[in-house]
Amino acid sequence: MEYLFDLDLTLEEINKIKSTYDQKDLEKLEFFSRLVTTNYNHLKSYGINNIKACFMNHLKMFFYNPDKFRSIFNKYDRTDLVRCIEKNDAVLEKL
Amino acid sequence: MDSMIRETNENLKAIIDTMKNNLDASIETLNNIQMQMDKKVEEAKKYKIQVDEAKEKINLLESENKDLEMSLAELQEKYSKMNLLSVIEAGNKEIKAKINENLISISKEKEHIAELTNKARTIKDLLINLKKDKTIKEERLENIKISYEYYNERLTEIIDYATNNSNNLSDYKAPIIDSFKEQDSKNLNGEIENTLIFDEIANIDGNKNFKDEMTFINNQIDENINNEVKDENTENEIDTNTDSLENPFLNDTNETEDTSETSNDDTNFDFDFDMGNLSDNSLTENNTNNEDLNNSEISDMDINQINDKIDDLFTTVNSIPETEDKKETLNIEQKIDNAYNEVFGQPLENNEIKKDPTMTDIFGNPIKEETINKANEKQIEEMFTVNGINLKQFKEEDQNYLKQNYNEQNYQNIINTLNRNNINLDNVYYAPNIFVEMTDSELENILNKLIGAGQSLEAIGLILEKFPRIKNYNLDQAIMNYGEYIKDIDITELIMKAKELSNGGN
Repeated sequence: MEYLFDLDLTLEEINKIKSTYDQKDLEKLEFFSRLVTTNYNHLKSYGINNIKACFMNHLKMFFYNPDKFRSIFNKYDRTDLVRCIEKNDAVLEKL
Repeated sequence: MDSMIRETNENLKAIIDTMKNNLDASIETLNNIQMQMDKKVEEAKKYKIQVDEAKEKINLLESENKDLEMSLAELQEKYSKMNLLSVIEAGNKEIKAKINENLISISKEKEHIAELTNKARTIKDLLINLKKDKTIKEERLENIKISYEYYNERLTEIIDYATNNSNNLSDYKAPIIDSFKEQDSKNLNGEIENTLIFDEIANIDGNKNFKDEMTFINNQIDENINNEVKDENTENEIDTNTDSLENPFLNDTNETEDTSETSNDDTNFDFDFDMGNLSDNSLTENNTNNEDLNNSEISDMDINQINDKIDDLFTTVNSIPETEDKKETLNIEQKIDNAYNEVFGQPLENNEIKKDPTMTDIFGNPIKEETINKANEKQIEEMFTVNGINLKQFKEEDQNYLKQNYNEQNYQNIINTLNRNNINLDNVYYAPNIFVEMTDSELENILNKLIGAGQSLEAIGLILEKFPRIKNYNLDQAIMNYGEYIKDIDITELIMKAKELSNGGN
């Protein structure tokens, strides 16, 4: 999972992910690095300042197909979306 | 005297028994190897039967699919005219489901064939090693057999003579060795000086009996030299005697090698005589003395040669010279290949196994990795450029990997397949392995299945490097498992399901 360091995650954060998620999710995280990175960078491009929290708390969303992942966010007003997510990252699951 | 003879005879019998045991052990080992080989060949035959059955099943399923496709066409033609769309739809669904089911079974059978072929390949390697081992052991057995027969016969004669003539062993006269005639007296006289070594040995040893024996032996030598017996065949005879008779006395210790430089044709000559008298002399009293004695008696034969022969007889397994060994290995491999052809009806393609091929120049010398890379760099760069791929954009290690494994046809076919399926070629920079570890048809198969399962081209492109690890059959199963919900399944979920199935999951 070396690539997570490239996503600016710290060792502590990576360890937290490892202790939070089950083996299957961790395998996916390891196996589909490019796909996860693509989704991560897409959300990051919105300028969300709590991107790491989004990633750590809603990891499973980052396993979506990238087109599906994008379409979730594209239907909302960008500014509103960022504001809501930054206020409470749990919003991600409601989108 | 009787007890001495008895003791010596027992020692000699023990030597014969040891050799007999060696012989029996060798025969048993060979039998075991043969049994293992037979067992493995039987196993391979079973695989062949299973492969044939799988092939037959595939043929049946394929022909059934052809019939189903024809039925589908007929159904469409017949009911479309009547405008019975619901009937067509229901028929379509059922027939396609059956076709898919058959396709899955075909994939399963193909996987099974691949597994069986791999098992057969393992057996082939094992058979090569067993055959090689067998050949070496057969050769060894032959040597053991020859030496056993020789020693058994000769030592038994000695034992019998000693037993029957315990009171007049000193009267024993060695049989005239014909080949000795060849040697001239000058040579013999020259060698006599070397017999001083006996005195030296006796002095070192300080053993009275041994000294007596030395004196006795020296007298006998003189007597024999005076006879000046000559014969053309003696030399070989002596060699054989020396060679073979040395062995029992050299077996116990190696301490006497220092004396090996000393050689005496004349003492060789009276070796038989010596053997005849050994029983009542120092052999039974002091083995070391006899070893020294025997070493110093060695004539034309170099002690090393003798030791080599002994090794051949008792210890050396890999006695075949390297070049012969290689030739033999090639022959064996050829034989095994032929046998494999007979069983499986086609040759084994060993190059499938080679993951790290070593290229050679026209002289058969291995070409250095650097040279291979340089030679391929231009070709691969040109080929990639024509297809809109920049070789330099790959990681450096991946560039080397691609250069080392360069196969223009396969690389081009892979690119064509990606293009045909509209996969963004930028993805290949992260998936150089698909050029090496896959064929275009394997790639096409997986792409078709994923696209058919509603996966986006972007998602497919992002997991391209995982393709060589995906098994067709498991992917089919995973797709079937999701049924009509497959369109909602993410590629990560689908691949994990296939992986799970591959690991034996449901």
